[in-house]
Amino acid sequence: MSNMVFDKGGVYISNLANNAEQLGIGQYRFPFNFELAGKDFTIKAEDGEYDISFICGRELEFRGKKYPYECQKLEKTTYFILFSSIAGVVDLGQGYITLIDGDKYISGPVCPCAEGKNAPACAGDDMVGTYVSWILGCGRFMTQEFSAPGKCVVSWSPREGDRDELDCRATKIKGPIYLVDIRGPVRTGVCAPFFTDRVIMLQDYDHMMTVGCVMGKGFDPISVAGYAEFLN
Amino acid sequence: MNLKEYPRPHYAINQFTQPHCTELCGKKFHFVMDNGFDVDLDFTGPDTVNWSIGGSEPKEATYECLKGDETTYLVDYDVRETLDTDHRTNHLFVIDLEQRLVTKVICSIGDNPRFPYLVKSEYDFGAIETEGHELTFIRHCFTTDMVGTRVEWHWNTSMRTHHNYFSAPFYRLTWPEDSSSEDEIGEPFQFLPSHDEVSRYIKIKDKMYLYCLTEELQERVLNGKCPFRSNNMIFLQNYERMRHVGRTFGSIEIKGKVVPCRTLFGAFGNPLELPEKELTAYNAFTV
Repeated sequence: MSNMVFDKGGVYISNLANNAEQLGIGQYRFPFNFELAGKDFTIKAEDGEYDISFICGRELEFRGKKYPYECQKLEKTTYFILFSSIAGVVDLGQGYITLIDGDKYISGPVCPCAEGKNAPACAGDDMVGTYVSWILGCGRFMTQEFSAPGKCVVSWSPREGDRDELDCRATKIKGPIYLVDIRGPVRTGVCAPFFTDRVIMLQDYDHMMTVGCVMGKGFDPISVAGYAEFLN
Repeated sequence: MNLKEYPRPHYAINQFTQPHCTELCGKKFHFVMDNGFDVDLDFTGPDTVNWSIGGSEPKEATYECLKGDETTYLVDYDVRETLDTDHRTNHLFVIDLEQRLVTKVICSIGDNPRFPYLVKSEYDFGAIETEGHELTFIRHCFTTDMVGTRVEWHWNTSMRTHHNYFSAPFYRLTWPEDSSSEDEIGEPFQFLPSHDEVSRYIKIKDKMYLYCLTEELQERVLNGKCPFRSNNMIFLQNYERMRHVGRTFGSIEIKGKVVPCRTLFGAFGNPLELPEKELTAYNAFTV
């Protein structure tokens, strides 16, 4: 199916290109990935052990309860997962899983291969000075300026001039890959849902792509993906 | 640290490439092809596949796999026995598990005695044999659906190109002035009479197309006057989400030696308004 446009030559021609407005900020989301299907892990976190089983490509079991889940693959061995209101990173290369459940971070090794590898850790001031726009769809983007450790100045299109400093927790997963967790409201009239209060992104500063989710009250978390443009 | 300064490698069209997908590992397929030479693919590992065409002895290859959507895979591999020869061959498949359909493209180099680097492409369509289901008679197919479509593709943080799919056998490539495209891919166009190139368009499903481009006119006209030799680029384009994934197969001259040019790529798209002069420019390669 194609949308028909009136061409300057005076005839109707087809044009498959479109803004995908119906998909909103979820437009550029990657195809869901099913590689974790059939894998079981025990996260050895500081406060105990957490079992997570990927029953199939669409359903997982966490601490004895089943949930539908979504998974996007960002890098050869690194996956972003989203289920219920829990988001996280499965890093099969380093052998670690990090889950964000409300205010709680559950992080730990999941296999002997993690021994000797770097655990996910606070990014400190790694990202300070970085100023990027993450383009999530046609004309739909979020700007992020990491102004200080724990702080990020953000804006959303089409009100990219209206910037707000929000709390941000950044975790270095490995190399140039960071898990960024930004909490705070959005302004009215932007491309994110009005009740958005949290954005969690796994960001790759080598390939300059991100996968993640947008959360808030009154709507199901939205899986997103996109690419970056530097703004400074 | 401003992560803009992160010491990343130089990327041209491959920065926004999605990671290789290993979901097909452990799966076996039998494709019933319209040309009568059926294909068997046995994905034996995360990047190895045993392939057989027309009942031939299975051979192992190293494959690449990208996803166009949840159930549509772009799989390709170079035939190992042809590597390091003048007759390299690449097999590419669009494996469509939703409709149980397949498109096969076999690309080869070295068939044309006058232009030894020219890529020749052969297309065939078929159905995936699936237990419990009758073979379907519908097929992926060549199409003119895309004619009239114009897209700005974002390949990396600084490179954008404009694709104008203006006729069934051709497309036109331009780029905005502030894109790094001029530096990355602009050289051959200084010597070419127009920005048009040979194309094939295949419909995979609603809003998903396989766009196949071969740098054939460029090779015929320039024949070694620039480093880029004939390349075949195949894009699996998702117009629901306005993005594509794909691969190149061809040759490039580096330090006086012609070597394989192979990469995976991906890009994000935007609708595009083109200036009148680009829309009405003459295709200098046609009568």
